[in-house]
Amino acid sequence: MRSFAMVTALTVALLAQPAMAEIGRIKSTVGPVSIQRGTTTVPAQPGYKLEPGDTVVTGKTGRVGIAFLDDTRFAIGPDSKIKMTTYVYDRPRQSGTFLTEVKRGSLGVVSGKIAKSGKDAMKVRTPTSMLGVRGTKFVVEVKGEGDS
Amino acid sequence: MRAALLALSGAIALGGCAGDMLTLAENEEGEATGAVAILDPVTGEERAVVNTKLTEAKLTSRPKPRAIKELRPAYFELLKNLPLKSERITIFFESGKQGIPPSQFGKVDDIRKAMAIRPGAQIEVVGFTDTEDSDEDNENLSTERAMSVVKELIALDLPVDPQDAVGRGEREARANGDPDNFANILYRKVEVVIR
Repeated sequence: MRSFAMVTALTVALLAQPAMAEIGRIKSTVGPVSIQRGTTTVPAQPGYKLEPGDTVVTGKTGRVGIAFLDDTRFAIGPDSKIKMTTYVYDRPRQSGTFLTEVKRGSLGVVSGKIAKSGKDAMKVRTPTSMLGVRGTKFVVEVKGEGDS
Repeated sequence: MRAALLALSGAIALGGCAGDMLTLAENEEGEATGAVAILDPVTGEERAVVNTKLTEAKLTSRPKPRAIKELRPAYFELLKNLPLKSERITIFFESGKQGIPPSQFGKVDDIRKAMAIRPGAQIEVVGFTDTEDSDEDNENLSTERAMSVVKELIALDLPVDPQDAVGRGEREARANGDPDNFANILYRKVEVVIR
């Protein structure tokens, strides 16, 4: 009886948690590209819906393009590991915050509405710096391992 | 405390790789160059601001931005993987009406064409209103307009998620200077965004 009650409580708790919302989509891939979500790793393919906390990993010949809800766009190069740590976007107000961590590799960015919604509302962290993005197009490259 | 933070940020900088690099590219057509600030990862203080196109800076504790003649070939190749910019297709309504007017059914073909060149396309439908009536009524009307178009697109076998219906109310009309209770057909619309 007690275990039934525990299972019921756990089920209710799980159902009460909001489903993770889509933050953007994989638009193109070349070579080996995978998505790490928690303890799960899946191959990336066009149309795959990304969620906050996902990490994109590319192999030696891997490349990937990503479009986000706020019209930010990413191009990720070979041998990269990049985590979308925080993504909060209020679509009616077109404002939010976006933190990306480049642990290794190369990332090309065209920033979107979040970067325009407030000073440094969009940030990119590297092992040595924090970048505040203020409405622009840029490339950041991390050559060290920095794989924390 | 400040000394400890500076020592910590210095240690992080030394521990990182001196080869880490930021390069500001030329922005897309019609867009200002913008800027990227290089911040201390611990204190958040600005180390440098890169605000001129074709400028690069090593991500060290003392970045020194310098002009370059052109993007490195590897970066040029990288940026070829950027997805296409989203496309916006506007559908106008009569006052207080919802749904796609028959005169604008041709825009459904435009949506299909935009999807065809964007693999794994996401369709977002954004509703707007002018500033007539209350804010609350306009929030509801803009959402209802967006949902009515979502339903029509789904009925036409377009892959639209109802969660991608967004009501922006009268925000755009106000941002562009319309006074309250001002009838303006330009904002009786939805935008179908294909990205």
